[in-house]
Amino acid sequence: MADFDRLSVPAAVLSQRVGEELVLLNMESGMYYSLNEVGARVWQLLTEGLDVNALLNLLSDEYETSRETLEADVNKLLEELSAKGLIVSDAGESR
Amino acid sequence: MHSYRIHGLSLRADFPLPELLPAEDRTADCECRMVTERVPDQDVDWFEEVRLETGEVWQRIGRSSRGYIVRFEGLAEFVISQQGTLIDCHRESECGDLAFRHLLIDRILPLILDFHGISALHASAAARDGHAIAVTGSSSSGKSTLTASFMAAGWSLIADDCLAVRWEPGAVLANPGYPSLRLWNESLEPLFGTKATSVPVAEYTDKKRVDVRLLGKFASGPIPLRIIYQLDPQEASSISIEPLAASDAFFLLLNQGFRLDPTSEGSMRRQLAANAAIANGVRIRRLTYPQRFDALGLVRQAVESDMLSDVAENESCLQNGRA
Repeated sequence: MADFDRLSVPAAVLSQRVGEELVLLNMESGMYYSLNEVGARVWQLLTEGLDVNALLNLLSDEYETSRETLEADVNKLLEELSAKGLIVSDAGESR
Repeated sequence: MHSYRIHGLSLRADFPLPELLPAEDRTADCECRMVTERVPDQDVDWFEEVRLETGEVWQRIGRSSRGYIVRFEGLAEFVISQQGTLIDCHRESECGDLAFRHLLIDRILPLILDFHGISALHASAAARDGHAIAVTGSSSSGKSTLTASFMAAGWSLIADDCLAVRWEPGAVLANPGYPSLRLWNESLEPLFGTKATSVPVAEYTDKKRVDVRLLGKFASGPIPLRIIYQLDPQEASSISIEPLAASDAFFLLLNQGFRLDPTSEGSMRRQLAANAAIANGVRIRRLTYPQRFDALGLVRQAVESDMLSDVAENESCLQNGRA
């Protein structure tokens, strides 16, 4: 899980909670996205400044799933968010 | 100068708009002025156009140093200032009185609401006992006809086609538009019999405008919005009301919003906040019903029952919260 280290949200990306979900808007592309409850929790932790390992440690306590499954799911989500320009690596490399 | 109130805004114009309710506001949120000249084409950066089925350009929207330009080809052009506080109106000689006022009131005014912190939804709305419901859906999905049937049964009309929504902590409010319904002839007589007098909406259409003050009640102020129904255009044999998930509701609202410039950062920020507030504060349902006039009474009963359940549920939550 070293592909993503510390991540941040670009200034052009806005979010709003809608019900249990989170709606994201990338103002550069004008595209909207939604995250389900778990995705919204990941987003919340990211925006609180947690690095990915800390985030996984916290989620391991919150959800009854194996660490491997959690890592794979979170990694996939981060890949998708990164590909859509919704998060960037603070090192300047976004995937 | 003539002063009016519409969509929760005070409006002043240097020409009469008899369809609107007069007001006595000393200041205006927006002022409309008639001007004689069009903005030269070379000064406009056009970014959107709407074509008729024939392929002809019907409407174009662009930016200029004076603000946004909305041009209806061969009819009229409107220049909207950057803050939505001034509209310069240019009328072509071929444009009739009715068409000009229809374009200004029904096409242009909805576009400036966003500047004033008001969300403009492509929806019609009515109220009963201090509770408002709205109906939204694609063009010709029956929004106006269904809303007119509510009004014919004693509800107060709030708006037809453009619903101005404001929100504050704990409340989403439906603001009155103006006392008019736009209906096709085939809807007029089944709903209102022969007592409805109407005029064409514009010289170029057979659609009719009726003044609802002659037929029923019009809302006098903002009313809490309880439920928005998305009309499902599919033919159905029975009435069904299904809840929409909050995020589906958000995207529905996004699609039903009037927007002048979808690429403007300010507009995107306001739309995101507005639609989230409405999706979180109002129940949103999908309403399917048989597309027949004789079914409208049953649809109204189903909606009334749904609204009363929602009110009771809300009051129960409030009481539990207090306990």
